[in-house]
Amino acid sequence: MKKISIISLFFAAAVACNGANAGYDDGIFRQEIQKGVDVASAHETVDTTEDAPIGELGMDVYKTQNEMSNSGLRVFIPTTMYVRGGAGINLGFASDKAGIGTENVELSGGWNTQIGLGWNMSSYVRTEIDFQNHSYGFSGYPDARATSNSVGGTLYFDFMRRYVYTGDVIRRRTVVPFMGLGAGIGTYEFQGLNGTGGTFVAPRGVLGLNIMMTDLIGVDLSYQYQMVIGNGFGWNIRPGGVQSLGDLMLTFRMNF
Amino acid sequence: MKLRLLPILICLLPFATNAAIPYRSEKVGNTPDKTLGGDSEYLARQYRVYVGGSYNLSMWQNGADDTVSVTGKNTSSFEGVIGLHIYDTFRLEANYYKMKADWNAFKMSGDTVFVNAIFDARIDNLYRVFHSQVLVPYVGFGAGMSWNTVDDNVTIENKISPAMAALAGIGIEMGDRFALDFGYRYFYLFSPNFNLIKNFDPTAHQFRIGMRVNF
Repeated sequence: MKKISIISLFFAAAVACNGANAGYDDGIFRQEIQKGVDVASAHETVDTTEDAPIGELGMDVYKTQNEMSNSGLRVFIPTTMYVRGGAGINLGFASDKAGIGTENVELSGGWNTQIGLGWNMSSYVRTEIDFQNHSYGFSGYPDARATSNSVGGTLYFDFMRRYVYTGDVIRRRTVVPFMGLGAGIGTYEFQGLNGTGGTFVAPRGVLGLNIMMTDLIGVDLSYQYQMVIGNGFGWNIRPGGVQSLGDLMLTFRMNF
Repeated sequence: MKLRLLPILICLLPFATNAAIPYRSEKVGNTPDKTLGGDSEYLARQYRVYVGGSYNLSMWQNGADDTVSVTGKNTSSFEGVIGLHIYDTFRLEANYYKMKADWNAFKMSGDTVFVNAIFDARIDNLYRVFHSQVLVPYVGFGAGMSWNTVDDNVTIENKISPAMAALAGIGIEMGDRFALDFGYRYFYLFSPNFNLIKNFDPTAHQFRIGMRVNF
């Protein structure tokens, strides 16, 4: 048993020694050779403090606010979405005539509103959902009105890249033409006796010009064509058929 | 004799003390970067709730069935909102509107409550620090109910009717707390089934001028 105790003490000493640190490694040795013992020792023993970043000490005394506001620096702001809102007029000459019995009447004095929420998918492509309310008037019938409400989706293609990278400088184009393809679904009503109405589906095409006023806000001037497929367009007419409608729209677009 | 075991136990101590203590570091919660402009809830986090009120000018639209035609008039009213900024660019609000509708044949009033979902066109990324934004356009939509009453000459079958709305407008933000609101709403009320005119869904173009206070 005495031998066992001695062996145990030997193991204990081995374990203790195994954890000992010689305090010297080959890296230090190489530094001593390359830089000299005095320099290497100084690096090892002298406490060093990192320099404060430039301007950091002055932050305690001075504080600059709105530093960027008065400079001429322009910042490229990547945007992902936009909102759009505006109004338009119906183009009677670019729309099919409405029917009143056997008579065909030209559309006149119609107008509409549009509210949209869009996503900038790339420099060229964006998509949008929108709500439109239309009110149609008819030439020679000042009291006759028809209304429609629709929700639609449109995929837009910008003909030119919005932001142009020239080396480190990013330029923004002010005028960008675009086109869009989509469809809407909604309800309409020709008010009064024997007026048609109900639900409709309207594939649409848009051709327009976007003019940016600031980096984020722009105006869209566009022509919208709708092919309304519903239960007829007028009073005392046979249900069914397709009606082509053209609108001129002026909307504001704000990117964010 | 048992003391002889003591050195053995002492021998084990170094092993025990050098034993690796397993540990695991993990991120508790999903704390967003709270630096200026660093996340999409920077402002919403500071001002989660807002209240507001506005004046409402409504242009009620005409309606007609096979025999009766009614002409809409303009009315004035008020409304109030209490809302939550979910993100800097999205908010939900409860909207009370004291509905006053007027046509040449009859009048209708009601208490209308909407839940509106609104998207604010606000820069919500890192670049907001370079951009001082005062004008914040928005679009939105709402759905709700209206408790309606009409005058003595006309009756309605449904006292409660669903209502829908599409909204757009511009918020003029005067600091973080206060904003002026100029808005448009297309108001659509499902027909309460008037006895005077069939299948008439009251609609209106509404213009709103008001303010919002964030807190």
